[in-house]
Amino acid sequence: MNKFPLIVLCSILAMNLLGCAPKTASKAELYPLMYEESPRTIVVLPPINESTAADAKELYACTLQEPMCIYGYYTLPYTVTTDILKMEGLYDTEILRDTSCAKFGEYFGADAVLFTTIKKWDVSYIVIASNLVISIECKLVSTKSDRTLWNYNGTILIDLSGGLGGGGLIGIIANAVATAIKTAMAEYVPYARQANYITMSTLPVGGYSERYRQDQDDQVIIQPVSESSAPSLETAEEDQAHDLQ
Amino acid sequence: MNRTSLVCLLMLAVFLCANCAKPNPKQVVLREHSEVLYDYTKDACDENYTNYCNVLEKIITDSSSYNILVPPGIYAELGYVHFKNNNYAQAEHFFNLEKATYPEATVFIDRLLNVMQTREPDEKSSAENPLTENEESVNSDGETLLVVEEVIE
Repeated sequence: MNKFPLIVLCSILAMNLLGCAPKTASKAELYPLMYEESPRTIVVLPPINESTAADAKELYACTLQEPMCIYGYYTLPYTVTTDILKMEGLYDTEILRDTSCAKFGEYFGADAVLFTTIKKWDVSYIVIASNLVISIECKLVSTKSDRTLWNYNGTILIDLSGGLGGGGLIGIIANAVATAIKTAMAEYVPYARQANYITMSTLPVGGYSERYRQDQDDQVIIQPVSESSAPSLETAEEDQAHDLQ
Repeated sequence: MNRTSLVCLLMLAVFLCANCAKPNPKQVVLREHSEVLYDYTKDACDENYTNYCNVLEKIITDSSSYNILVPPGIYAELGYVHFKNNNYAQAEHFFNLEKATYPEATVFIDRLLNVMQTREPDEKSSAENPLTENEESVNSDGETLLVVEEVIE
């Protein structure tokens, strides 16, 4: 059984108790076109990396397939599609944004194209801990109608020092050393995957999910609008990630 | 509360906890995919290539063990690895498996099969990397360039 509605409910309840009730909306209200067009096949374009982290693009893109699969979508293999795009020198440019989505439909047979911009990918240190802060903007555009079916614009905070608590002073020192090593070795793949799970949890589930067309009433938490214009969204899973820190 | 009731309650709690913690089989079979894909994307050295292939093959066998569909794109990825290494028979086998498993991949797979089938026999034996890296093979592969250009226009 999918625990997502329960997690959302608990999160909303907890935040209400804390006196900071979030603004929420159902997936059907936010993304009616997703239910109207019901895309099944998605091609993931190489993300545009506006962050200072050189590896952010690959980290993000290589960890997207698993959550997309879990949420019920057929995602065309990223390695194959990017190889083809690389040939035309499109991997690092914004020309992709100006290409008609219908072309991706014709060539790849995709129902929708996922565009991603990584705005921020920073590690912040707080003496004995470190956090990974990821700000991303994603949108899913139909290859049939060129309409934006879904979008996400949010900041995700992931603890890089989790699972090492306890042990008094020795534990704190060990934690600090482990955090430094983890950061130095850039073992970010699990964290990038976690960020993708959080992002994609706002997406209405696809045709291979058991909850296909049953999640219209699932609530999505709307973040306060930041400096950028698009509405920011997060789900209770993001709160869960915060709580795990 | 008597002892029997207490034991039953504990067993129920253990059962519920165990059920809650039960992972999604798709997540289990894909658990190593992101890591090896990232490593291979960053550095296509022999070690990363071998690890990547091994994990793709393991995903297929594990999916069979869990009695679930092989996750989307895995057959195609493995086929593409064989394609890049000029193992065309294997590539075609896995491409067709992807198409049979996920009919929505038909357009994409048919394109790849078409590119593969239109290659000259001598190119099949000489080209090292049909879609990337090998400049000669890319230049000689008129069909590959042609279909890619369609996307860009």
